[in-house]
Amino acid sequence: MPSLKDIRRRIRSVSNTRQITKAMKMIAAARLRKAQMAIEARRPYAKRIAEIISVLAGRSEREDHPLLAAREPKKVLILSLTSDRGMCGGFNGNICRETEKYVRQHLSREFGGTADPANVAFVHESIELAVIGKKGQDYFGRRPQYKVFKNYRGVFEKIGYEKACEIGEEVSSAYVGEGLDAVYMVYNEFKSAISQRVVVEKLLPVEPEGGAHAEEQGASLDFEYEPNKAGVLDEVLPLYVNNQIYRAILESIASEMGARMTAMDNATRNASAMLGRLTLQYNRARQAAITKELMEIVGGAEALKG
Amino acid sequence: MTPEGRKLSEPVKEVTTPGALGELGVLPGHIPILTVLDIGALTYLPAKGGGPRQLAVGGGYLEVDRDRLVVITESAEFKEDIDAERARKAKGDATKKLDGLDSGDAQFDLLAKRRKRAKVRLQVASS
Repeated sequence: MPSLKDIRRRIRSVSNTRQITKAMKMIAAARLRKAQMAIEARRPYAKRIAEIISVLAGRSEREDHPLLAAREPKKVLILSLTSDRGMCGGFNGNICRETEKYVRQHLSREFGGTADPANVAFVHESIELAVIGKKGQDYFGRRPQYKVFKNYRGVFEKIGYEKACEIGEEVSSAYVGEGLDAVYMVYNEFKSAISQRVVVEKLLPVEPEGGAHAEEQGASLDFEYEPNKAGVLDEVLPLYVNNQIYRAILESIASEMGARMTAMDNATRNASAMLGRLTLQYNRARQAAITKELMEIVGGAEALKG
Repeated sequence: MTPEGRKLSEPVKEVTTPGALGELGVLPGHIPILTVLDIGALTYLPAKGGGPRQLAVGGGYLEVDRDRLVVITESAEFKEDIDAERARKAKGDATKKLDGLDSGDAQFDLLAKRRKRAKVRLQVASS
């Protein structure tokens, strides 16, 4: 039976914790709104880029561009997006697990994975990781069996396009230089504030959407192209790649905040429940102590009388 | 238009852009054209009057359709948006790294681009 003082200390500590989790939930909610605004702001730009690519890449230029060239995916890079901070439930764990699962399933058997070249359409011969976010970097840093291409730091200090640009340029140049045959992204897709889904998405080679449909659209777009269509495509494709990375980063941030909100909400609720129990226990103990004291007094008085 | 949102939307009289094939001036009624932009300074004359304003743009493309002109770029900054200190540092870093490379290196283009971007920022910031 803990003493009154112990329980009192416990109560104070739990209520402090509750205060903190509550505050963290509020902060996460505010950041979530910000991330959602950034997603909104990006939309018109993304639409433009997608449009122009589907117009331009619907034709013969397709094979010519190095970012569109599909090769047998032997050397692969996985871009994993985790967060810098914890306290967000299974957010980072899910990403790390999914990344590991992908490696296990798609790395060819002779190179240390489980994929059998006879059974599946494609296997990779080597997989490197590019990790965004401190949590994932710690995780894969502890597991030396994974080759890390590059760790990106400080992506989340400020929501901004510049970091995405930097990553995009580096990844693209490795791809063009044929150091890589394909690039995938693993990140949390934002569905709603309470649900996220881990997705694996191909980043490179770029696969333009909507072939035939785009051709029709293209006919109505009567522009003069300068220097020519291929030249414009050269310029626009890297923008598209950077933009995809930016989108993944934003989705990931929004998801992280959503996950943290949920986790902190649960923590706050648990703390409240615990406080209730402790208060009850405290009151019981207090009453027991009072009763005991009364009994002692009465007993003492009886003894004197006798 | 940038990935971070619409930077600017207003009636203009004239725009001079850093086209990939040299400077390109656009006046109202220009034929529809779609062209690549270089990293450089974009100057425009607001229709409501006042002097020309300058933006540092980081590549992208330009769409002109009769009376509308759309610039799609990765970054667009006015003089007051630019962190000159950072740009100076970025320029120094890129230049240092470039010195040790020859033009065939995979990193060369990337770094050259970074240096150019920093240069343009400095130029606009000091105008």
